[in-house]
Amino acid sequence: MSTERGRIRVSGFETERIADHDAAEPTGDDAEEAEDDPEVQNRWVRVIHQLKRDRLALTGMAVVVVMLFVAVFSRPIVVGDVTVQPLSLTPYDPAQTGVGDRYDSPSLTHPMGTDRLGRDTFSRVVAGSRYSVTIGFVVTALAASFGVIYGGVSGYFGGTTDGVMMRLVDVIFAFPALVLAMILVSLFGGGFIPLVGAFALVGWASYARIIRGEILKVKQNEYVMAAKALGARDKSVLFRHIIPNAIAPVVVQATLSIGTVVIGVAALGFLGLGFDPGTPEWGTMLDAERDTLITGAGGTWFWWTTVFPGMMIFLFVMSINMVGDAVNDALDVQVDDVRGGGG
Amino acid sequence: MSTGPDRSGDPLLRTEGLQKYYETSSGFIESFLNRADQVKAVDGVDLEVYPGETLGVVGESGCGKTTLGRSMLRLIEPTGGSVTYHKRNEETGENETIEITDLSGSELRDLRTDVQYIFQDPFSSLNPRLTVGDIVGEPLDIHGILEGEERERRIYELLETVGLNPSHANRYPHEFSGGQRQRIGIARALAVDPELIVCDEPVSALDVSVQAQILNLLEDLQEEFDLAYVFIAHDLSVVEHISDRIAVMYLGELAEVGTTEEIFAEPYHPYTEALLSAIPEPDPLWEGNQIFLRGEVPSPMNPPSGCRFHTRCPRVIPPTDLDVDQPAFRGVMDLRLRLSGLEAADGLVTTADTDTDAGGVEDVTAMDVESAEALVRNTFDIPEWIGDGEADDAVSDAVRLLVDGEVDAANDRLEAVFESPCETRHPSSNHIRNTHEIACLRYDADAPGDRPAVGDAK
Repeated sequence: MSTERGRIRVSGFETERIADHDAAEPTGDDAEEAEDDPEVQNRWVRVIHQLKRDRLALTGMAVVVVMLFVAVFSRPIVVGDVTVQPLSLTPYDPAQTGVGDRYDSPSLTHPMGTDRLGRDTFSRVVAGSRYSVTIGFVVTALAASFGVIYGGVSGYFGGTTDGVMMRLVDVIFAFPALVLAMILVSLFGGGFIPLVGAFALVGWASYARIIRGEILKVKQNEYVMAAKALGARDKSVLFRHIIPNAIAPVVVQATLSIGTVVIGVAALGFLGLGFDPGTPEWGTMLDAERDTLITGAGGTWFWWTTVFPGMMIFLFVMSINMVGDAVNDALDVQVDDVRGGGG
Repeated sequence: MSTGPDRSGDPLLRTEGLQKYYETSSGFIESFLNRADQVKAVDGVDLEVYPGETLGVVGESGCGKTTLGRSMLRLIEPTGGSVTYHKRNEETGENETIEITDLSGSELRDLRTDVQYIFQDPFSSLNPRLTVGDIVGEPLDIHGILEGEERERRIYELLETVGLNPSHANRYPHEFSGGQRQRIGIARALAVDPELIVCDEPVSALDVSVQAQILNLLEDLQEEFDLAYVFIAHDLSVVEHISDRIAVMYLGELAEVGTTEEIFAEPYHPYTEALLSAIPEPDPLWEGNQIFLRGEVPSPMNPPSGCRFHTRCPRVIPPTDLDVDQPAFRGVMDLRLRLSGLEAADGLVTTADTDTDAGGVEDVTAMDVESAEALVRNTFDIPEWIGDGEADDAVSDAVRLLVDGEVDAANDRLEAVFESPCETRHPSSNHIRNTHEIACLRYDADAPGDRPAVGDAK
């Protein structure tokens, strides 16, 4: 027995050998294999793979893509005096009255019949995708971008900034979303831009709240402090390091809420708010023909004037929700969907 | 470490009285009622780091090592004290003194090209969304050092320097092992060509074979780029391997600072002595006298008075007029510590303290004085006869008071006789030699009590 240390020494850990061994390591087979291993794929690549396997999501995606395509090519787009997009998929001008008799039932010339003014319902439904679908996407894009920046700043700086900024979000949440949108539309009048504005104004708050919670979590990571240690500015720390790592639940929420916005716009349209009565927006069309929902005199029932626009709303919202659910599953995030129905 | 770097000039970085207190609560009501406590994570640390040297910082978990490293670079705001950095001006060759605690945001960003930080956890310190090339290139972008093709070339060069394959610049961090990730972190810190790197336990998260590789890499880089390191670790053998000088921390304060040789040889701070005795030894026939510290690290929220180590110190100083030997005095100190945190006398001795678990023996208030005294002396390792009449009387009196259930009175009785200077005096740093400082009253010429021979001690 001895109290002296160091009588036994372990050798064989010379620097040179270790250095050689290690230099070879990254070029080894392990690193090559890693690329084929699905576990370590880039997350978005993995999400797309998973979406491809999900038939329901693919169907939904196909419907949404077709509708987007139709929205672009339904009528020519003219900017200023220049025709940007000359194609017109609609057989008739959707605003033109008297292209057929009043309330023609569906036939080969008018696949979805005609309405009370003899307008071609098919043309109107096709042209209507331009209003409903684009509003859904534009509102979501606007609300999500603003919400992410707002919530990002709030969560990143924290403290008093966070307290004040989140109270504003609470104020927005204090109103039922659809009612608030309705008030805004009644105040500023109908039309595309006011509708987008109204829905974006009530919609951003939920994105802000979601991303703030996520950011509080992400900013604990050491790479955030590492970026500060490198001398990065707050702006680049937030947008380069924090938000990209916190965005997943927002993507899910955004996909799901496109449908909600479309329903909200249709609901306002049905209530006679939003677009002018003659506009071929789906909700507005339903409103114009709502008296045909009941059987008319002599057992006449012009079901086609309301069923087709209603079907389109249903089809689009259903499809986008299927996509949203699949994205949610693929990202496997918990979404705190604080918002009820509407806006 | 052989000769070590030159420490005659100005230090590269100097902290003076560096403090970082955390508020335990930011709640409105608590701060309104002034009830918020402060956690004294780092409390008055004076350190110097010289160019090209490695300063090891060791201490138990939670003693404030990481907080010290981060507040030194103002990654977290220190609450007091100063940190000065001596910047070598390349053109004039003169030294410029920068007070880091006074820097504005943009000045602080400029300083980041001189001082860098390597993080403990190689898994959370790299952004999973960026490629390795972008991670290493980020400091180049931030400070506008290089652009375009030169930037690419510099990234490849850096990856090669730390022993990674440059062709992997387009891969993501999750494709690498822990050791490789730590190399990426090192490459990132090197990108700005710093003078000083604070390494916060850079090898603690790695397994032992990889630890050696990373340590050797750090040494090679130090030689190549003339870097200074502040090397934070809880593993003394790692620190011994890499450091020129070592600072030992206990509960937010420095216990001892000295060159590696000085720390590993006598005279010791009692805490360092305990730490050193805990280094594992592969020799099965080795029978070193390991020092087991009693109790736990006290809370930094309410640190002990005087010397912060006195609650656990195996060499706590007895009062001058008392003739007792060390283990007995330690026992009385433990008894007093237990009493001061006690509400009722029947909780004094718990079953965890005694091997005998006959029901009822723990409750001293239910015992007669003699058996209570035997139990107390046995539990706290106080011998039958301490060696000083006054001391023995005090212990007996205290036990008698305890049997009557008067905890505070018993504590006062003991304190009157057994108050150690370590409890009342805060030890200042005593220079044993030029480079060796020990913050312990045993080495303080003004303090009462016996002192070990200092000076030519081996």
